[in-house]
Amino acid sequence: MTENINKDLLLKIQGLKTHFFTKRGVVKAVDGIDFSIRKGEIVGLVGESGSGKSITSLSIMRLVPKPAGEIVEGKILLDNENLLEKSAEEMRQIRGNRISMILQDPMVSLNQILRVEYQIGEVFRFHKKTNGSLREKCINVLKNVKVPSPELRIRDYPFQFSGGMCQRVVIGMGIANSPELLIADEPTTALDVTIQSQILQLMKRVQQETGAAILMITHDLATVAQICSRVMVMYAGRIVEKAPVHTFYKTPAHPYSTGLIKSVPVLGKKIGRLFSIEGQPPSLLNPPAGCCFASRCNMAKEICHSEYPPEITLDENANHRVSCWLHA
Amino acid sequence: MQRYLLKRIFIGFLTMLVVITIVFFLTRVAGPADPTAILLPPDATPEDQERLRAKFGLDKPVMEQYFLYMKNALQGDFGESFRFGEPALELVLERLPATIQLAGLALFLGLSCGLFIGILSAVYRDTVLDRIGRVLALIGMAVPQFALALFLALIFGVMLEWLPISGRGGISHLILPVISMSMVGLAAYTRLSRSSMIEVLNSDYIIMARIKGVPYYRVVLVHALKNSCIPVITFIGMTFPALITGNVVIETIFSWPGVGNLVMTSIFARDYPVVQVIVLLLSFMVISINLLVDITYAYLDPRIRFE
Repeated sequence: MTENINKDLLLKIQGLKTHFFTKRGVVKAVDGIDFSIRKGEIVGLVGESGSGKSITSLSIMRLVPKPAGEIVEGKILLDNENLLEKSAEEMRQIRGNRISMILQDPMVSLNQILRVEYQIGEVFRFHKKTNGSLREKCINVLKNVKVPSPELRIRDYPFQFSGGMCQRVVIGMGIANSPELLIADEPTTALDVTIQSQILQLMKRVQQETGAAILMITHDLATVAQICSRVMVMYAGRIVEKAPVHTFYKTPAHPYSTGLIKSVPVLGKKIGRLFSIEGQPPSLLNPPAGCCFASRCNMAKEICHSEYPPEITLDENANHRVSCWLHA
Repeated sequence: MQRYLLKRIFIGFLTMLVVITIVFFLTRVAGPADPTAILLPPDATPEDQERLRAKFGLDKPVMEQYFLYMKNALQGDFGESFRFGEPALELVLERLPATIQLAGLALFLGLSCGLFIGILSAVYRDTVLDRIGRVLALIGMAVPQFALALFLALIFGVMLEWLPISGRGGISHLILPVISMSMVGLAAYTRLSRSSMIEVLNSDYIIMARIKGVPYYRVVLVHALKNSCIPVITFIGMTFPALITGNVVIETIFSWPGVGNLVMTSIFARDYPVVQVIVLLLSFMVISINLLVDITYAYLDPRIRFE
């Protein structure tokens, strides 16, 4: 049984801490997180802005902004190999090849003054996988993500593409080398609502075709419901709850998760004023002792303010875990 | 693009007409002294002076002089130098290669070194290398050009006697004037390319390129360099007039037989035709450099080309 799980395991993150050393002090952007992703699984990582989602993904890529940011502790195991022990060159070979990533705003994640063909070609040029001409491969990338008349568009510049088309190009580049893991950092946030669902459909299709695991970073619970099988909630640099999607929506365990779900408007349901979680997330520069959510939590007990809760397993089979004193 | 170029050339031509008109009236109406008073020996009679004025056409009303000058100028005749009696244009063109050599080398040195140091500073940001680069750039900006020129001439020319400090000859004659002239530009280009490069290196498409597994040096050279060059190129057009002004100072200090030197002596001698030709030529250079900058800009940034 355990062996089976291990075989399926693609990415395992243990005690990861990524801190930023600024003039004003140490910002603990990611402060001790553990999670794992199985092969071919779509996992959602949700949380509000500044909760450390993007830094988590950049840490996995080993592209934390330098010199301020640094991974200070932990392990990132890809197929049991610790990425933090890889040399710069080994890491470069993994990027765009075994792990790939899609950024939030497609209009700025492509270089506006280089042709699309060149930018797609880079995915192949720097990884040893050569059969067929580079141009053909680039055209195939566009075909794969359903960009119309790819033979012509390949000669265009990114500014001649719409936002949705740009994101298709970025996704195309992301999956070009059939990565084992695709990290999507809010891939639909910058897009129109109609385009959003197209892009999500595209990602779902791509995942089924390539069998890549996807770590879907978002603050949109609708996105999670649409394509993820599991969800992790991040708050102030830590993961506070992990659950299968249906469990998460039915019986969220962490008060923050409950708040998040309550604050999503439901179509056709008149509930008066929309629910919102009171207060602001704490500063990561001087995080409070104890649970970071305690000051906004209306169920907080005394211990919540003094000690950080351990991770409690609510359902071993479903892998539902929460870090909250209410369940201790 | 073609229509745009034609429009720019036409505007450039108009600008030169305006420039020449302003210079004409500045020298003649606002000019303090009569050139004949300077050119003639002290014992010359008023009759001699009158004859010389008639010879130069200075006895006619200013407006008449102006229209005559413009008529001739449009046919390529810019008059004769009061001092040398040679055609003013020829006199200036003779000196032009020396100036182009000096200014061109200074621009090249300033731009290439500035870009190089600026990019290194940005890539190795907040390291010792970056600090040294920034301090050097600050010094380069702060020290006046004439002071640097005199200082270098004193040390390497007078005290150490390693390098000649006046005239034009071999490469050794070039070293001091080129270095003193390029320093301001070098400092400015260093600072500008550093800040521009830092901004570019923080953008999403740089992260994206690294995500694709592009080696870092390629990311810098292909993705970042071209983008960060755009403001630097624009800056060349803006600072070119300053280079020309600096050229006048440097050529005078090092007795460089160029246009900058000639313009100074011509102004002191009230040699109007020569001054006019030089100003016209310099404005022509400034206009064409700016046009060239705009063309380069369109080449670097396809967004401009497709507009």
